[in-house]
Amino acid sequence: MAPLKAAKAKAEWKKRARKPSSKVLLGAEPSELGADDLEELAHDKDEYFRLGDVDEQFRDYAALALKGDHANRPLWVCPDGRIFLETFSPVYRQAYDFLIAIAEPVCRPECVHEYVLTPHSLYAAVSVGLDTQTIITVLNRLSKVALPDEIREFVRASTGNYGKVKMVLQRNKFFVESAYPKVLRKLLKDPTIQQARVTDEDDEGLAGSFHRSAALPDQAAAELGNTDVGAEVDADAAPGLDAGEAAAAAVAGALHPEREVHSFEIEPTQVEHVKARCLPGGLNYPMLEEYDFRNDTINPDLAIELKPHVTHRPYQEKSMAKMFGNGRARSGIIVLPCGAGKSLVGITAAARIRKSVLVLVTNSVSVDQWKHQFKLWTNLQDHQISRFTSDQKEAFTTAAGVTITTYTMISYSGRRSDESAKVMEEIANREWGLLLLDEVHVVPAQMFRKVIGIVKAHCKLGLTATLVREDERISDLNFLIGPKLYEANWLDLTRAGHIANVQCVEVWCPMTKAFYHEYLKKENAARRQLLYVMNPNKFQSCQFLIQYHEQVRGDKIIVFSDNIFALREYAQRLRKPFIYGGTSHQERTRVLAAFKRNPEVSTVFLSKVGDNSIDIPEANVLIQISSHAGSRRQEAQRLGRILRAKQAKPGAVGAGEFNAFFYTLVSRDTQEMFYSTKRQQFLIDQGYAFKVITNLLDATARGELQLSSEEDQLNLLAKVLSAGEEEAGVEVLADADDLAAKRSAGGGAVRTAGTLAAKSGAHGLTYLEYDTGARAAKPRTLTKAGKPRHALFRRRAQGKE
Amino acid sequence: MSLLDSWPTPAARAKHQAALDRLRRLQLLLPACSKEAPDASLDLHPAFREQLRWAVTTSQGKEGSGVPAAVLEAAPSRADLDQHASRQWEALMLYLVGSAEQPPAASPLLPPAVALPLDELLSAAGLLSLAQRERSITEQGFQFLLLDTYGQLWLLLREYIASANARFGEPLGEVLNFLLQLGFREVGAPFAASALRPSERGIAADLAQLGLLLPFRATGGMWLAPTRLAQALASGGGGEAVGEVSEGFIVVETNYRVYAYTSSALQAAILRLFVRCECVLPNLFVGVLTRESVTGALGCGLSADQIVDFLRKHAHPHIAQRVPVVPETVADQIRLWQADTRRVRQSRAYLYEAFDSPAAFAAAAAHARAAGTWLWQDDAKGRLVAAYVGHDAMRAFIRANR
Repeated sequence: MAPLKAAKAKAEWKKRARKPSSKVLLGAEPSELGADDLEELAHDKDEYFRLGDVDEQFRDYAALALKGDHANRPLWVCPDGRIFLETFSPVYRQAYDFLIAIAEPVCRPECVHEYVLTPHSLYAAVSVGLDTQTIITVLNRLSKVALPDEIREFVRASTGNYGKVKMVLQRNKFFVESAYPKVLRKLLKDPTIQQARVTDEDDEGLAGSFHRSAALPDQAAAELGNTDVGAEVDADAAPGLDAGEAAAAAVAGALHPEREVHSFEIEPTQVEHVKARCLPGGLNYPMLEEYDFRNDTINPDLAIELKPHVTHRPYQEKSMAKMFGNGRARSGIIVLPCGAGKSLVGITAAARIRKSVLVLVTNSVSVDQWKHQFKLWTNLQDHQISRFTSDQKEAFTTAAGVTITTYTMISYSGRRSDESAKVMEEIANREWGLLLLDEVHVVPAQMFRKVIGIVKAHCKLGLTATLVREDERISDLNFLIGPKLYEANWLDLTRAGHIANVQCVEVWCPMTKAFYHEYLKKENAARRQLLYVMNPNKFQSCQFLIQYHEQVRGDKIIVFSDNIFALREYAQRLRKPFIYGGTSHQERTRVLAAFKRNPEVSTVFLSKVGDNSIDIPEANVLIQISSHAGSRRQEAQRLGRILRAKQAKPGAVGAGEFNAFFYTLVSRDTQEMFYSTKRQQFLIDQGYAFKVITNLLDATARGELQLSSEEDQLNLLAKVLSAGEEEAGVEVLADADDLAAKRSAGGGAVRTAGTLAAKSGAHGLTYLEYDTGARAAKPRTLTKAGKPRHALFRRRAQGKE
Repeated sequence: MSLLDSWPTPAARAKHQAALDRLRRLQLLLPACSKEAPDASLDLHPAFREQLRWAVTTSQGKEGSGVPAAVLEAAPSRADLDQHASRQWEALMLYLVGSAEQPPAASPLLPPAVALPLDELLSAAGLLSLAQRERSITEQGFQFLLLDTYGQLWLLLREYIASANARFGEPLGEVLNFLLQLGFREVGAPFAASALRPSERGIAADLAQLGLLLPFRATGGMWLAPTRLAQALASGGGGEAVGEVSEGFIVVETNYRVYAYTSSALQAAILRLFVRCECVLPNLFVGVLTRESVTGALGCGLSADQIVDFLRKHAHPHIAQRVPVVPETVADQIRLWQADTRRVRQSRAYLYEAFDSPAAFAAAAAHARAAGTWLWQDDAKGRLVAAYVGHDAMRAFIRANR
């Protein structure tokens, strides 16, 4: 588009003028940043360059052939794997169910959703029972444009090998199983797999021979393939679609004739490596993990029944259907928004499999919560449920049972007490029917590896609300746990009233003059975050919002602050209880109980510890005063704290009225603004909208709040400036905190406070200035080009000193 | 005024008022200032009055008289006419935007004697700048693109009328006469080209090129059929008379994405003024409103309200019922981006330093304050910044005080 160049050129200098802000950030020394920051920064970089892309580089697919009856079909498929779905199409429901099985959602706002086909998403599709031909046929039938050849090719290449190899756990041994001996032979040519193979005495030298057994009929998979297609067949709105043919193809594809399967055994410790080798990028034979629990007679059954009053919501049923589609249990991840009843999904899976269950969670508070959930939904009694934490080391007394513990308890490699070691041994020796992994997105991949190496489970189910990190960690999960089985649409759930309808608001708080003055000084680089968090205008906005929601609406409020100094300062000024990493378990439980029951306690201040898995269903207002740089995951997790559907006013949700409020307070003209935009991206992709309020408080409102006099503000500023760098920093917590807390109870602090500078990338911001500062030490008489300076400039250069 | 108000029946009062409004908007009805009729409060535009009189007295009611049935049969269909109109008009817009190298093609059946000087026309209308022999669209040009067809048509025709005077050597009235007659014709009702005078023929050729007329051959030679664009000439505005080129087609999502159901290169080009295009499908344009793309458009002279307005006016029927049509957060953000571009203003200033003495510095500072140009001073280093406008006076003052 040459024509618009003039216009573009005009905008160009503005673009350039803005560049430094993000560049400086990128310039931060990697060594000074935590892994989290690097991740976020890496993401920032991608996004930055994507934003900077010149418009000229858009993809032109206008040449694709549009089908004659395109208006009746719901989606477009682009040659690069992107798919756009109209939500107002009459066949939206069916198309959505199909797409969510085969593609990753990119964004799902109100009218047009965007998905993308990836090898991983297609792997997930195959593992829930769809085959190559079905995927291509259905996709083509739903598409408004003729299915591009690239896509056919891509689907074939990605799925052709899928589903041919399975990983099966039998009698505590791992087997690689396939109906195709050729494939097994091919796999064995790989050194990794060769080494992992357990060779019996008899088998030695006979690389070509495998164990043989009869294959289980895969009838159920055919049904699933059929249901997806069948649902589509009903949609008469799309005339001329040859549904019959597709259905036939689907059945033919899914119905493997009964035949022999071949297998060989591998070392338990090598399971993960073998699976990784088999993923796309390696040998490209991704393995499916299935557990034929009905025919497992070796492991004792667990007498678990869901209570009769338990009813499932449609999306919970759907995720169960995906998991148990063929009568066996598949390993994988189910993604549901916070508060949408993830625990019930996990517990239902446990009740379906009816074998011993190991539940892994992030901290001891959620251990208690999970136990409570098990007792709430099922008939299990105390003696069948054991908790294994630093405080409680229980063992269930029955042949089969439920154990709930934390990731750190399992992966801890130091010396254990005798009691603890005994429980650990039991866990390691048992063949678990189901391994439930809560909040899979927060656990470092390293820890997962360890856990999965220790625990032998037939089936693994990961639960999470936010699979948002597009870093290595996500693809790790693909082979550590399994493919994503189901992901719910936040907006649909909100509309159906299953989760709260949240009003997201970003409140802009201008910095006061004195605070901004300090903020700009380079010697305060380490305190920048503290300065913008402690901005008196922000405090007043916070106080105002708390007063409004407590007094006018009678709401329950959580205030989040990553910064401990600010957390304490705000909470003490406003006389509210607060919880942070250093708060003891008892104290935490006490405060949360008071918050739940005592009408006098309507507000609680939480540090990062509250981000995940602390269940506070009562809260419906959330105020965020400080946060972890640009972490989209944190933003989504925090929102999750107030998503649980509110019981009090059931009618209000249907009316599209907001019944929960999420405020983010940001200080204007500071880095916070930049981070805030970044953080919101995930939720915006889920269809949330952030309303910006630029003037929450007027002068009269301010007068009635704390810190309205200049003197108070200056006192606060003095306090902020005298705060040690340690205090100014953000709380850094181990991912699962309780073991760490125990370990260090003897001595030393639990939290390692990182400097603010490292967190905020401030080192990068100032490095230019260090540069000039160092050189200014001696007056420069030469210009950069090495020429003698003009007398006038020499005088200026000296004057600078 | 009261006399005028007494004309309509009570039932038609609204229509009457609308007609008067239109006449006022077209500058045909003016506040009276003539000496002959001191009590009159309204007056017709003198040129218009003159021409109206001329038209009423001299035109011999050609309309509808004697169009042979064979011609009516050969006349282009409504669809053909619409297609011709939108094709020519779109080609013109694309030419303006620069997406097309060539202006809309003149009709081969009715080639103009003198080619329509489109470049001059567009540049006279302030839409195109021809500096250094290079065509580039101006700020007004961008705003022009966001107008509805009716607004665009008249803006261009005003320039055309002015230039036609020079081109055909005809009095202004003749041109207007022809245009008005055209405006009152029914869409698709053909009239013979042979009945036109040479100058009118020239105008007709131009209008065919712009898509207002579609020439065709039938018994009796060349015939001309007015399109819906021509009808707009006298319709006095209002979208529906013109029949907007298409119905709404844009969906704006809360995640700043813009999906436009269009295959028109023009609409894509217009959207790309302020939307970053991500990909183009046969009947869908996918883009996203980014800070860069919007501030770029703001820099080109568009305003936030114009952008939001455009998105709202062309909303896809599916979201047209939504309140608000453009998500509130998106509209707010566009306005905030605009506010951001206006937060910092630049003005030139001058730095004075290396004064001979502290006294000289103090005197200069005092002078600047007195002159109201003082901006900043640093006593320790003896530096002073004052607005550029007062520089000459400052320099003179400092010299004089040396």
